[in-house]
Amino acid sequence: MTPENSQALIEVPNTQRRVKPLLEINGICKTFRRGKRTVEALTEVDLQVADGEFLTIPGPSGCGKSTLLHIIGGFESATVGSVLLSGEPVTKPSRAPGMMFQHGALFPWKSVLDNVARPLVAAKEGRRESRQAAMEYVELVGLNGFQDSYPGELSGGMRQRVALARTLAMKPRVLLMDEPFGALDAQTRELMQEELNRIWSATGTTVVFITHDINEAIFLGDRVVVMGARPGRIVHEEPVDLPRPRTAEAKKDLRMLEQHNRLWDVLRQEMLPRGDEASR
Amino acid sequence: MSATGAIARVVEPANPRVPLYEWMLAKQWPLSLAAGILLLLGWEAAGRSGQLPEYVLTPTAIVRGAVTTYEEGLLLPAIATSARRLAAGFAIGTGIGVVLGLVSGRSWFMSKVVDPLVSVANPMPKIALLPVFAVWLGFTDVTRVSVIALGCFFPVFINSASGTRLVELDLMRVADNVEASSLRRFFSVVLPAALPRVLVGMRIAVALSFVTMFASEIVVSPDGVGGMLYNGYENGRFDVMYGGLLVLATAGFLADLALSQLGTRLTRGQNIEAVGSDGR
Repeated sequence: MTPENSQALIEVPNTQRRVKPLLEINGICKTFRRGKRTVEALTEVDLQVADGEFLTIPGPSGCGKSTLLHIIGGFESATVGSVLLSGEPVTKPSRAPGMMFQHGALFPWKSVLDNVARPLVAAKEGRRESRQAAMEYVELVGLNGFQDSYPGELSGGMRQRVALARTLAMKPRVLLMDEPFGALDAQTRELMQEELNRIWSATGTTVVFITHDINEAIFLGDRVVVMGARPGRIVHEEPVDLPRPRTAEAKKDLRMLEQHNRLWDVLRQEMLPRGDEASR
Repeated sequence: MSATGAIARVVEPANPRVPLYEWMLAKQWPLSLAAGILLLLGWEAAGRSGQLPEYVLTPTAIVRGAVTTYEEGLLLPAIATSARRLAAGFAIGTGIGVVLGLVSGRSWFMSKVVDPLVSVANPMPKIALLPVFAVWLGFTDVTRVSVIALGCFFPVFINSASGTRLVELDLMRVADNVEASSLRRFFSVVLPAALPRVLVGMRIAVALSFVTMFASEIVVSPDGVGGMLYNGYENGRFDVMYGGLLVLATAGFLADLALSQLGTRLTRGQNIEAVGSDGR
């Protein structure tokens, strides 16, 4: 995980395949000025993501994981370091990294279908073709019959399905997901995790998924990268050794429980107040 | 809301088997109408039984007064004159208010230049400028329209600017993500997102425009509906006075109704959210 070997091949988790990384994050640092104080949000973050990999990043709140995702998406710039997607530096937002936002960020004045068709219309694909293609994504996320509803008429879980369909319609090379189920109730979240596994299996998109939920990170991910706070950095990394396709059954797997306990021990250390903070 | 996500329900259409009072409660407007009719009947009864002083006319006498002014050939020219001023003033004031408001909400520079001016000028009663404008422009329709336009400008500007500033940041990021041009971003994200607030400003402006129109019509050489009403007062023709009042009240009601209907149509989807479906 050092910058020197960033051009090297990386191993796809749970396979013997070694590939060139699709996404490379090299030595990202991010500092903010807050009044007279300088806050170090991220320090020396290095990551490689393989094509087709599902990477999950759990971390305590305020660890800068959302900032990291915004930098990968080109919405914010890093103070130091670079992001390469398919070898090209990411400097501004584009369609290649497609972002799915925590609260969906749907257009409330557009129907479900028009929301999903939006990226296609913006790509000048023609109105009828866009809506036809959009309908396929609406069906993929299981919202048949709701295409003419407005987002305000839908539950939180359904709105996130729309947001996922819209982001997939962008045909991004990497799908960035910013705690998309964090605001849902516990049962809906479980269902949405199973749905995401199904949809991911169907599309095979590369995913970087931010969460504060360790179980979610294990259940969804091929590999889990744990972030620590103050400053935000990578503190631990391990592959997930659960067979796919994963259904609700996988959550009862003993290996999942063991991995949860192991990762929780790591994360727990990061969440305890440290001596240097007590004096602040 | 439930995990499966029920759709927000609109009130069922009236069912003939439902008891009348339940239908009235469910629909709300029959109740308001009944209350209004009761008030008018009470007023009429009080007038006919001699309970009211002679300068308070009954509803039927007021309608008769309006009919009389029509028969005397006063009503229609007065309405035409006033409507022309109102429409011109509203269109000019609202048009400038919307454009400057939207620009000011998006541009840091504009908000630093225009906003302080508006804050200083807004508390001043706009009608106080009527004599000033009369000195500059003479007491013509240009002066009257200018004052009406000025009265409309402020609420529309303030609401448009704040509506634009309140556009969710993530919605803008979605537009950036699909590589939308800044023109496209403005028309398909900023404008529709700010529209509910713009329409609120326009409804306030309509109400204010009647006030400034009336005030501008009763000074120097009274004419229009305001002048008709004022002359009725001067000449002791209470039927003409109340007739003018009836016309103003009806026109104000219709103008507000038209705007709120337009608003409901233009901001479908956004209204549902405002009423409050589930939280996220």
